[in-house]
Amino acid sequence: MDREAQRADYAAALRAAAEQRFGAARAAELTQTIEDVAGWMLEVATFPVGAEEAPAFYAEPEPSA
Amino acid sequence: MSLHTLDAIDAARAIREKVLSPADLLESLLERIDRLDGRVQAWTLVDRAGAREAARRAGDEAARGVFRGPLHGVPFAAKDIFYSAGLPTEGGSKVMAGFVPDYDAAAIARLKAAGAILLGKLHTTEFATYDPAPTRNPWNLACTPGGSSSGSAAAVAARMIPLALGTQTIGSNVRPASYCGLVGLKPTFGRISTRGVMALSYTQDHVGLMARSVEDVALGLSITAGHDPADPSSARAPVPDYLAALTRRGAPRIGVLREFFERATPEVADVTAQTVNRLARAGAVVEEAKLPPAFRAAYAAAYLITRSDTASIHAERFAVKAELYRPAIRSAIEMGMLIPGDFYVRALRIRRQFRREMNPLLERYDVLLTPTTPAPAPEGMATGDPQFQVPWSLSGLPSITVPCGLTTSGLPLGIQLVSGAFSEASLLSASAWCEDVLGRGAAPGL
Repeated sequence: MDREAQRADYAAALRAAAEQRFGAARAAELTQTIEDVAGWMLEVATFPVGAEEAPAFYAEPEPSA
Repeated sequence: MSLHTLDAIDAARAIREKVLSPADLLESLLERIDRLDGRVQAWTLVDRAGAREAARRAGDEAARGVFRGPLHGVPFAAKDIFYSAGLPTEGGSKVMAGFVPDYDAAAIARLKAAGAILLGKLHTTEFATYDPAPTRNPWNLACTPGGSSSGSAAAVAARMIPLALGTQTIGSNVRPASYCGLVGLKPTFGRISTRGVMALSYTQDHVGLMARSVEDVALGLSITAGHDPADPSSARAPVPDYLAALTRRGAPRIGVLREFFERATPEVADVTAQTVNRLARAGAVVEEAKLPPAFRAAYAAAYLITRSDTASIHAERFAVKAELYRPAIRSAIEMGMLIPGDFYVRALRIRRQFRREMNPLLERYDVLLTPTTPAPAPEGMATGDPQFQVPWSLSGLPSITVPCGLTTSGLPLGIQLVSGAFSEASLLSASAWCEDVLGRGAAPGL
């Protein structure tokens, strides 16, 4: 799947979820935000994050040497 | 010299030497607020009675030779997302109308324990997000002071207070400090406790400091930094003597991140390039530095994480008070509810990878340098572009802005310096050296 198709897929899924959760009218108001978030999801999904890379949370970052 | 122009450290020294009374200093600041805040609108609340009582007590103690700490008798102020015992704390939101906490945020408590006097609370965008505060930029009242720490930046720039607490989750402390011609520090994630600060993100909320000199910021950090067992994000890293670090200032090794210049306006890029040349002529070792691969995913990761965190943090309130939220944060919360969990976790993994990939660069240089903002403070209410702060909010790496000049239209610009985790001592030392070379930031002509 090319990047634009993948981004459109994410946007469609977000739009469907927004309609279900907030109603069609509110989902329509969120159109631009949905497009932004779909773009971020694409960037995160396609970046080659290391297989060993665990999520960082509270105990990060460690002090510099 | 007018008392309201004193830096915090100079005021503290004068009080200790008994040539300045805390009450006289306070009255000078109150007079300044009375004269200017109708136009600047930095303050949500000025606690005149409480501050006067604290100043009277500080003066009595000083007369007896009793000094609580390094800021004895010196006023400070806090963004209105910091809990302040007995004072309204509304986070710029109707959702929190009438809320009065019964304890002080950890950073406020530490400053008070050091003798400082909380003069009042400062405007914020709603819950430190996007919906703007009414505050105007003292350099040009048509312009934003930036956000979300809008009142903090404007009040310090307008000489209404020498030191203010802000916060940064995306770009909310360093950017407004730069827009207003100040020094603004976002320390390492976990360096200053966020206990008692209205949360926006579990992994990107930072308490920040704003002042008119690197020395004042170093003093503020020395007081507020340190482990807090009541804050699960608080770091155990030892706290060095940040003021002592300033005495060891020398020409730093600077890695210039050229990619940021290419995203800036021609004027900002030009002023920053001239600044870099001045620093090099003064002895800094300057080289071009290249960002690691994970930088390109850093923005998307930061935005997905903050949306998801914000949705989680506001879930209960939003369920019953959605109509009280303003449009931008309402959209952010709603979208955060829809982001799938696997994307959130992947974004957190990118966060860690980005920081790890930054390490070699941070070991090679004392500081990395960018323009602080892609453009000066824009006109209107929107709080400006935070993109040059996002990678450091995501990674938790410390960053600071130091004033470097004015645009042709008379608005302040800054350079942003970044260093390794918990390397604030060397970051502040390098910043002080740059401040020596570039000169202190000017004052707005209010």
